Amino acid sequence: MKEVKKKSPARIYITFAVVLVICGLIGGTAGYAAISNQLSVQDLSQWANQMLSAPGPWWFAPGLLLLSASTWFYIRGRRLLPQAKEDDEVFPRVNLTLGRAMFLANLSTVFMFLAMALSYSASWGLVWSVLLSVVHLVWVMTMNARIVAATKQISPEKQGNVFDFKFQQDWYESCDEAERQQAAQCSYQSFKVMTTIFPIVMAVLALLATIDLVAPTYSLLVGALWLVQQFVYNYTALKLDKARL
Amino acid sequence: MPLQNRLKEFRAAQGLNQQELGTLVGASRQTISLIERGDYNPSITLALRIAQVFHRPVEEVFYLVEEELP
Repeated sequence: MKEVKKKSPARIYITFAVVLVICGLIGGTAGYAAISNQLSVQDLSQWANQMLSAPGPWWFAPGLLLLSASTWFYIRGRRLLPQAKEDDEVFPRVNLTLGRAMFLANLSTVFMFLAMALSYSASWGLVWSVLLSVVHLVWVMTMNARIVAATKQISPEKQGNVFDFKFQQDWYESCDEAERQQAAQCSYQSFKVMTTIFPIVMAVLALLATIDLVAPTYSLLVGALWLVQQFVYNYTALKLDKARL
Repeated sequence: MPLQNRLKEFRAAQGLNQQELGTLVGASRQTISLIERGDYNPSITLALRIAQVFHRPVEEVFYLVEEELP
C-alpha cells in the first residue's frame, strides 16, 4: 500500500482559508472591473453566444479528428491481433492500443454532442450540421462495436453487446478482481476530479448570475448533476456498509 | 516488502499460456500478465487457486522480498 504523507491539521486549515480568500479576491476584482467599465452584461452574453455559434458545422472538426485518431489506433491494434492471440508479450501492447482507441472514441462522443448543441444554433450550415451529426454518430457507434469485438478476440471471457443498454453491467460482471479494482480506481479518480470541479463551476455560475450574465437555470442544472453524483456515491457507500453488517 | 512470484516459470513448466492459466483459475489473461510483471498483487483466493493449478504450496509461487535500504 502506498504510504500517505501526514499533513498537519493547521496546514490544511490555512490552505483552505487561503484558497477561499484568493477566490473571493478574484470574484471581487472581476465584479469591480465589470462595474467600473460599465459593461453591458446582456451585450457580453449576446456576443459570447454569437461567437460560439459562428463556426457552425466546423464545431464537428475536433470530434472527427479524435475519431480519426481512434480509428488509427484501432487499425494498429487489429493488425497485431493474430500475434497477440499467440504471443503473451504482444498481448499487453495490443490491449493498450485498443484502450487508447476506445478512450479517443469516448472523448469524441462528448465533442459530438457539444458540436450538435453549438452548431444547430448557428445561422448557417444547418444541413451540414445534420449531415455531420449522422456521419459522426454512425462512425462512433461502429468504432465502439469494432473495438469491443477486437478486445473480445484477445479476452474471450468478456461479455456484452455495445448496442445493449445493459452493456456496461454485462462487461463489468465479466471482469475479474484485478479489472474490477482498476475500474474502482478509475471511478474514484473521476469522482475526485468532479468533486473539485462542481463547486468551482457552481461558484462561477452563482457569480455570473448575480450580474445577470447567465440565467439561474444553469446553476440549477449543474447543481442537479452534482446532487446526482453525490447521492449515487453516498447511497452506494451506505448500501455496501449495510450489506456488511 | 514487495510481493514477487515465480508464476511465469511454473506456467512455462506446465506448458500453459496466460489465457489457459487464466481460464483454469477464473482470471483474465490481462490479470495473469499483470501478476507476472509484478503490477498486481492477487487476492488470497486467486493466489491459492494459482498454487493449486501448479500443485505447489502458495508460498513457493508467491513470496515476499526484503526491500534494500538506501
